[in-house]
Amino acid sequence: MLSRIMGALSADMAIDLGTANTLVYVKGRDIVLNEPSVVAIAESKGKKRVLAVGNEAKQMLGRTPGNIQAIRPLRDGVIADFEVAEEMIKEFIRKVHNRRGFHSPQIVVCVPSGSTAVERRAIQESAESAGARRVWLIEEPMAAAIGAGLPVTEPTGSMVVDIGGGTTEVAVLSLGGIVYSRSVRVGGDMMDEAIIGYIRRNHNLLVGESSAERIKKEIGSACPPEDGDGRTIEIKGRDLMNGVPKELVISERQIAESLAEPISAIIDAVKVALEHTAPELAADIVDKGIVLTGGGALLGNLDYVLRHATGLPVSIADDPLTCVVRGTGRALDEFKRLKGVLVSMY
Amino acid sequence: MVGVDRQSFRVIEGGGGSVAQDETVAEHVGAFLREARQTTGRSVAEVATSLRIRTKFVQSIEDGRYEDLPGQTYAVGFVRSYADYLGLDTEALITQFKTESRNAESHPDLAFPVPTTVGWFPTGKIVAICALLAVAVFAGWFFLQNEGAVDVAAVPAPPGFKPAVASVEKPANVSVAAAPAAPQVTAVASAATAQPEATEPAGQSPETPAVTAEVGEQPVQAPGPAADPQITEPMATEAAPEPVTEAAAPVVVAAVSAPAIPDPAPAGEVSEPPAPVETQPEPVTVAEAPPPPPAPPVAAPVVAADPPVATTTATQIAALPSIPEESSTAIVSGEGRTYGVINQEARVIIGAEADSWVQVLDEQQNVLLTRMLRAGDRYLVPDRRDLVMLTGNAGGLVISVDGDPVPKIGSDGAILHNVRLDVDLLKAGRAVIQ
Repeated sequence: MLSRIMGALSADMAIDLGTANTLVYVKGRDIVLNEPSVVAIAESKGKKRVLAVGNEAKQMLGRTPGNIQAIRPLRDGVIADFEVAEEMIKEFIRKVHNRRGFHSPQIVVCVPSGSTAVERRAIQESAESAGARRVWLIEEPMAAAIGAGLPVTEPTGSMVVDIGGGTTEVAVLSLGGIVYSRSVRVGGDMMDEAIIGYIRRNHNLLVGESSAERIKKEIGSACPPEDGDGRTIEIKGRDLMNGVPKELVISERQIAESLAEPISAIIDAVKVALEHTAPELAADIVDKGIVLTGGGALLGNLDYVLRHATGLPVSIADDPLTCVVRGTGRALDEFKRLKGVLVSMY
Repeated sequence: MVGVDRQSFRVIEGGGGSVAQDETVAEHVGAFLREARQTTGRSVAEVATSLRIRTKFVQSIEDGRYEDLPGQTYAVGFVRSYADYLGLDTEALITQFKTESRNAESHPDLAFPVPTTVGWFPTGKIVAICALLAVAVFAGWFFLQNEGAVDVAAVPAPPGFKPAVASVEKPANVSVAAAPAAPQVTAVASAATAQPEATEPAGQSPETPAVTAEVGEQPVQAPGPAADPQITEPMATEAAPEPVTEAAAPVVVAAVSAPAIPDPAPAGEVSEPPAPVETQPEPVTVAEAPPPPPAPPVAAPVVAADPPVATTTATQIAALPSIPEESSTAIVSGEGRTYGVINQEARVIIGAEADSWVQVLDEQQNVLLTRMLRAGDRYLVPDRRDLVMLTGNAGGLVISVDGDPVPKIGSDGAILHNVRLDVDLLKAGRAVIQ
């Protein structure tokens, strides 16, 4: 009872703590924060202090002097640096929860379905020590499916593929539960790395993570164009041969080639999931197909590639980047009804 | 470049477009898609194979039968794929499609399957109703229990009265035991009590318990042998003067306990209807025996002021003598009561304009008066110089000396602990000692 009263005073929030971006949905206020999961930490006199988080910190990524570290505390969908992650969550909550004097909020955080109990506990503890009153966890594919508007509680199979920054979650859902899920540690980051590796191997040019991400967003494609080289982009980096900064032009075809490996990993994951799906659910999925969510869904021609690889209709969800946080937010809004999908490590 | 006009859904050819025609007017998104498909010369089957969407779903989209599609999310996905496949402006078409298919919920109502509750434990509503019923039943029982109860004073009776009090405690019992005669006998006893007091307060006995004992015995003996009521009455009357002063209660108590002993039959002859009627008011108005100044405790007549039944009066009186109250007796005048009427020579009179609690003590801390003076009540203070007054509402008191009001001793609500009731000090307005 008391907690319900206090709940009215605090802004309960849903957090999509992603490898690449963190999104925060505040109950009754929609998505209020969408920033990269990056923290810049300055060290002075042996003490570490947070210098910036989010967009500001991302601009520092790869451009920091010795006393500043720009860190991405999450890797592969889970917390890699516990303390920094905690600081980041704290900062984000502070940005959002401006009614500081009031009660601490209730928080729903999503976790990859393939994460271990230790990883989940780490996320829950981070959120708790960041000032949450109560922390609930929700599995990412479930949140993505709810956010995409799939009828997850009906007795019909739905398949969702959530391609995030660190992980790709493939799941089949029915009757409000996850029937099968598979999480592969391939995502946007892996694609960036593939691009960096490809350019280094073929052009002896070293580009940073931010540049690789920009290339992927602008001309990235899951399959090479039917004819010609497609769009081109200028990239800048350091020449490995003579060590001077260099600029060169790279084409869509080359990027599609470089992305072949992570893309095939995603296709494999989807195929494996389909292999493990019960025949009744498979029949439902044949009709309705697969729904793509997450930032990876925005990669050009990914739906086309998946459609041809699986032979199923593939649709991209509306606003795929925010699907997970919208689903998490819905679980928060309809807390009583959707409590079945929330878990707590305690 | 293809633009879509919302209202008429008119496709405006922007030039360079490979699909759309000039001035195509379509009813809905599906029809528009169909026309776009037909211009490219593709068949539905071709589209279905290419997009891996069931042919029937492609048909449904083109015919505008959106309710046949598997769900809003999927439908939007199909339209997006289709538009993309035909190279159309995807976002505009999707927006249009969403407004058209508004009736189909974009967010399905999520209702988790809940296992049916199987258990012996009743639901919350039933528990709540039971609790309410229990409370109601208890309240009713409690009310019935207390309805006929006499408010026996909480103060314990002196040792000598215990048995008597016990016998009167339940008036119902008494009346049953005493049969029809009981009320009359009691009434007679009351009369006996009242009359001597009214006429002759006279004798003053400092030894109350002793007197009590005597009185307690005498009436019992009296009616015992004398079943004849004519004897009972004089006996009682005789007995009454003997205990003299304040022994009102003992007499009554004795009288009440007495009827149990004699045969009720003769007592029935006693019935003197006028007797109770006449005598009842007497204890009410007429003051009881005044005490000596040292003030041994005596019955408080105020309680007797409204006796509902004879027996009840007896009970109350029986219970009251133990109150260590001032011997003050009250005269009920028009607007208030007057206490301490025995103090005829009183020079100081405390009057109450508002309800005020007042306690008057003498030098030995003997309590002469302690009570709530209601508005209009008065207290005649004994003419002594050593008296001290305590009050809970100094502003509500008007003190007069020899009939002349003296300055107020305090403001409304002021609590004073040490007001000297000395004539000179009161006149000088210096009676309050801090």
